[in-house]
Amino acid sequence: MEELISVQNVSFRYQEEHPYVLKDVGLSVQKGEWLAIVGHNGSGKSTLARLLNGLLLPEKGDVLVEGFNSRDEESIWEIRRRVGIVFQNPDNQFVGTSVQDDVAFGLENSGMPREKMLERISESVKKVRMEDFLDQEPHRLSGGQKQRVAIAGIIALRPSIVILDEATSMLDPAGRKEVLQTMRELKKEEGMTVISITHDLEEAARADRIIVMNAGEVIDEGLPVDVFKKGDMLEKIGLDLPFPLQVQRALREKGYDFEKLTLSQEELVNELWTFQLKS
Amino acid sequence: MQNIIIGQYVPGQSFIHKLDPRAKLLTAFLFVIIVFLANNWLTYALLGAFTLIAVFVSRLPLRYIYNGLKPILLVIILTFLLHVFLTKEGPLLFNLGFLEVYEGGVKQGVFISLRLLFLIMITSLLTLTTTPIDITVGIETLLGPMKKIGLPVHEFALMMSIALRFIPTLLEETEKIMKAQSARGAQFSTGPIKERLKSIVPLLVPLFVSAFKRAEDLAMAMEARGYRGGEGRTSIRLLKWSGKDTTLFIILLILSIGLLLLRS
Ligand SMILES: Nc1ncnc2c1ncn2[C@@H]1O[C@H](COP(=O)(O)OP(=O)(O)OP(=O)(O)O)[C@@H](O)[C@H]1O
Ligand SMILES: [Mg+2]
Repeated sequence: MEELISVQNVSFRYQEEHPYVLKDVGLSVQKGEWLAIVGHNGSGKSTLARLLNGLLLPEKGDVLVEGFNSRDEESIWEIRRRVGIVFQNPDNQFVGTSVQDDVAFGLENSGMPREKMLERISESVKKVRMEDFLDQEPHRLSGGQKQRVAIAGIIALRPSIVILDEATSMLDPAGRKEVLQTMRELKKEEGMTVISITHDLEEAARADRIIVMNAGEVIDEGLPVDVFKKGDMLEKIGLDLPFPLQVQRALREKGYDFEKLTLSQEELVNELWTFQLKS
Repeated sequence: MQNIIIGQYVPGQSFIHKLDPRAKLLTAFLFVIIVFLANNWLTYALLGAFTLIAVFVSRLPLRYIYNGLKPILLVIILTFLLHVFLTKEGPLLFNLGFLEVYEGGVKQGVFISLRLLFLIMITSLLTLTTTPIDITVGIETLLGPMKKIGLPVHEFALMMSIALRFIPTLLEETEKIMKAQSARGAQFSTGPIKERLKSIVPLLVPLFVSAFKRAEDLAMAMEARGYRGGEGRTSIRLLKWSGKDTTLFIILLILSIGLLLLRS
């Protein structure tokens, strides 16, 4: 395992007299993993994301991305190139007047020659399956398509990490699925590291690892099966458990006992069958 | 509102559509200058021929040209009348007692009106055959050298292109808010003026709030994607100066020489 990001004892607040939004946060991100960050509204997830690519700087502690410290002024651009963020609102991050212009935006910023840009663009729109829309204007695209264009704009820069900051929360179920599917393919085929900030614990259940945040602190961290064992704690900090888990918990209260935690519908059905066969 | 065309651009494949936006911008600019060379019937005829041929070559439906002229038509007519009634030169044509019309006045009126007409037609032709984004890129490239004297050319062009990008989005949003307010009984298109003005406020306030939010988000997204001003930035949009563009300039040169020779 290779460590890509290391956050060390980071505290942050937006204004001096305000309370800390992040308190002594420490975490590390490994190459090639899908890390989910969950937490209630205002728990500091977006703030953390902005610290990870140098949009914000820590008040205390350090953020290291592949060895670059975001405190060094020269490192900022290296960090921004390595860590891309897909934001929540598909409309408010579309800079260009067409798909091609938008994907090019980051490349233009890096001063890449036009020929090479064209190569990178055609390569990355293919990966998100938007190659037939190059000349399309943003207001003619669906939310999911816009988010895929945003992803293309980021991977064109060949980053090591893509952060999805609730990137699917404004999309319809179909759009959500197409965006997540795209990211899963990128992870599988390109070995992309993904940090997914989400309210959707069902999605988080499919991650390699989960970090739980509450009121600016990391309160839990681990494999989905381990984190979801603490269902009460998750509910207490205001998170909705995945539906299959809710069903299982309701059944357990009624006296039914299960061997393992069911995080997906499939697992729940299997457990129910096993239970049926045993009794 | 879904099919709104930003600006006035009418897609097409004509010679004029295919010209480099820089060539068109420069032509429009030079035309504004050489229009003032004309001072007799012959030179105005020459300018008229150039303008009409340009309109013809663009293969645009005349309706579009007319639409461009419509708002300015009243100004043209007024200018014409002012000159007819107020310029007292040359022989008296007729006398209606309370006003006298002189030949010089009619001539001046016609000339000034034609001058306005040609200017509007040529500039409309520019915006009708060039996408707003191409115009922006054209202006940015043409004014490029001005960066050295501190003119924020890149920033201006970026501002323009972002504005162009967000016009449809904001229109869509306006429509949505209007519907929401209509559902609550607001009236935008009927009723007394006072009521209608009042209903604009609950439309503008949410629109502004969301526009500021969008601006903030966009700035964040741009920074996240490594934007740091125009310094060292490259561009995906490529302008190609071709034979066609040079031809246009030769035509313009011939026109200018013609005007210089024929003016009195
Ligand atoms: N630009 C800002 N200026 C001042 N305070 C801010 C700013 N952005 C966020 N905050 C505050 O910081 C806290 C954490 O916000 P943050 O956006 O990081 O939370 P979040 O976990 O992403 O929430 P959500 O789930 O709603 O996106 C909140 O209390 C918020 O009010
Ligand atoms: Mg957030």
